[in-house]
Amino acid sequence: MNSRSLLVERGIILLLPVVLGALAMNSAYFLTLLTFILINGAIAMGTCFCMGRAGQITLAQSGFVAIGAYVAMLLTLRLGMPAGVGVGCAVIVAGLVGFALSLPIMKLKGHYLGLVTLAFSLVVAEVATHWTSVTNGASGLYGIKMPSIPYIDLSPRYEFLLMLTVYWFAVYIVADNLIKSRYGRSMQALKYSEWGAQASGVDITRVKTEVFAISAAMMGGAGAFYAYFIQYIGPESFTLELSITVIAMCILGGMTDIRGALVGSALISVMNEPLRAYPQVQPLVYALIIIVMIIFLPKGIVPSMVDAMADRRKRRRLGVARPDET
Amino acid sequence: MLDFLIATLPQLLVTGIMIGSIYALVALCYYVVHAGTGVINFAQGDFVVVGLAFTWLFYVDLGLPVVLSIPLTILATLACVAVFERLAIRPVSARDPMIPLLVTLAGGILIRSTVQLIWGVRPRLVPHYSGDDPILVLDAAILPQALWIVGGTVVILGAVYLFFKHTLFGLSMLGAASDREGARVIGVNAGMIGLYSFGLSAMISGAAASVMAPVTNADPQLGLEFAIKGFAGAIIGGIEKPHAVVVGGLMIGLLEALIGGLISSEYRNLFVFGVLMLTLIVRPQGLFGERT
Repeated sequence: MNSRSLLVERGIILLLPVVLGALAMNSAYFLTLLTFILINGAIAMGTCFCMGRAGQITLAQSGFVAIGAYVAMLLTLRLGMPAGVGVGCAVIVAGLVGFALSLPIMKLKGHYLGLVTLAFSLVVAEVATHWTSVTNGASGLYGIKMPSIPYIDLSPRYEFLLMLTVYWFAVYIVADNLIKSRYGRSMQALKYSEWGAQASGVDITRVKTEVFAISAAMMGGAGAFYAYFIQYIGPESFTLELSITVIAMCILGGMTDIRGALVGSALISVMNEPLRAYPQVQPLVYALIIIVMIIFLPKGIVPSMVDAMADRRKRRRLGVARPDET
Repeated sequence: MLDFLIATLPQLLVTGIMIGSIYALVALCYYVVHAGTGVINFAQGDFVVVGLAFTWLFYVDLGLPVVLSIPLTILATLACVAVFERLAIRPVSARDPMIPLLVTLAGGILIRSTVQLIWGVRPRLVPHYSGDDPILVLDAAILPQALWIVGGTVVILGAVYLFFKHTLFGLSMLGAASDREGARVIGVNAGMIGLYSFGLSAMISGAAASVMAPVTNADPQLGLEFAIKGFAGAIIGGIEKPHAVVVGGLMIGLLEALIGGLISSEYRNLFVFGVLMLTLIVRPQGLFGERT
């Protein structure tokens, strides 16, 4: 892909939520849906970055999102910090926790990682439930106002969407640039063979811990936006179901392509709307999506489309060059 | 403090051994599936949930006697898991190990949600098999059901031991565990090993569920708890050896009971997680594992 078409692609991705949001400026329902697409998208990009690109299984989504949400909520609620500080601190704290968590588990083979990260999410929920003096336990935290952009007077949800878009786009650019750089190739090598990566001079422990910390930071920031948007958080906001939903998004869109996370989060967030009336069925549907996709379209939507397009382009080029052979 | 300790310790040990037996069986299931297929089975806790649901169905709903409900539970759990293995695990077993893992994760959610849809979210009560008058030993009150659990665990462990040492299936599974490629070369059917491993773990889960159902009740939410504790047991003991995972599971149960009774019952999971992380840092191969 040359640099101009990359610029166009990124421009379209940035403009999509801005334009769609502007068109639906007066529909609270539609703006809420868009907001959730972007929040889920940021979590899904963190997951895709860690699992799809570097092959490190993580089920710590709900844990990191919860940490980010609580950090932001507490800073604003108790210390009156502005939302920007809240989001920044959420990103930093979640990243640091991710780094600390990754140090002991990096000795593990990929398989064990999943269950350890799952246990981590449970522990975060347990601490959120029982550390009542800070987290207010099961009753949760509430009582902040939705942040708005100063000096601009638009619909409050649209202003929030614009701020979220900035974060979401920043996550996308960071992830995409890292993936396309030398660092991304180390991640790729790590995914396919740890020994091979090590033999070609990749410091695998370092890449693993950094990837884990970066993805945790991405999820933590998304958690902060979730807290500011819903203005209420409690332990039951961040259950395993969140992690499963996000993984279903990545698998549907395509785990190996960061744009897959964007497509998957949009599709599943939209699909979730009719399902909201049946909370019992939600996990069932996501589990089915994961299994069916893995068996029938294992690469996911975006990588499959990219492959098909590359195939067609190649065939056409060959056809033009040597018409006698087709 | 000392008086308190002496007074409560026997009771805590009894509870710990009872809970630990369950975790030991779950840890053994992890070993069996990991040995046969190289997969860490995320649906493990939910196999137990299936067993719990069938125990409730046979023993409470249909009112069958214990001698019938236990084997029926084991067979029904086996049937469910066998279908799951053939439909979902088998088609992806040749792919990158992350894929079967994600399938077991999704499969576990699928099983749990299905059980919840059929039987509801609330736990179903299962009465104790031999009454609930506690037996007093020293200062500890032992529920008769605890004897069922510990006795059942011993029987299951004995059966699994005989299976591994004296049947061709068991020996080929051990062979596949130590060297998957090598076992395939000498003619062990790798496709069937997957079915046997999942099947065996389903039978252990079903048996474990049917002895513990009266204590835990048929609660579909418990799956995750068992999955994490059993896994912690398997890792702390060392997942490469069957006796190590059993001892690890027992240790988790004892640890949980002692922490719950002496320090704080609210942060039990946190302590178990702490011990798990500490093991990973200090001795990643497990307490009884050999350094590779």
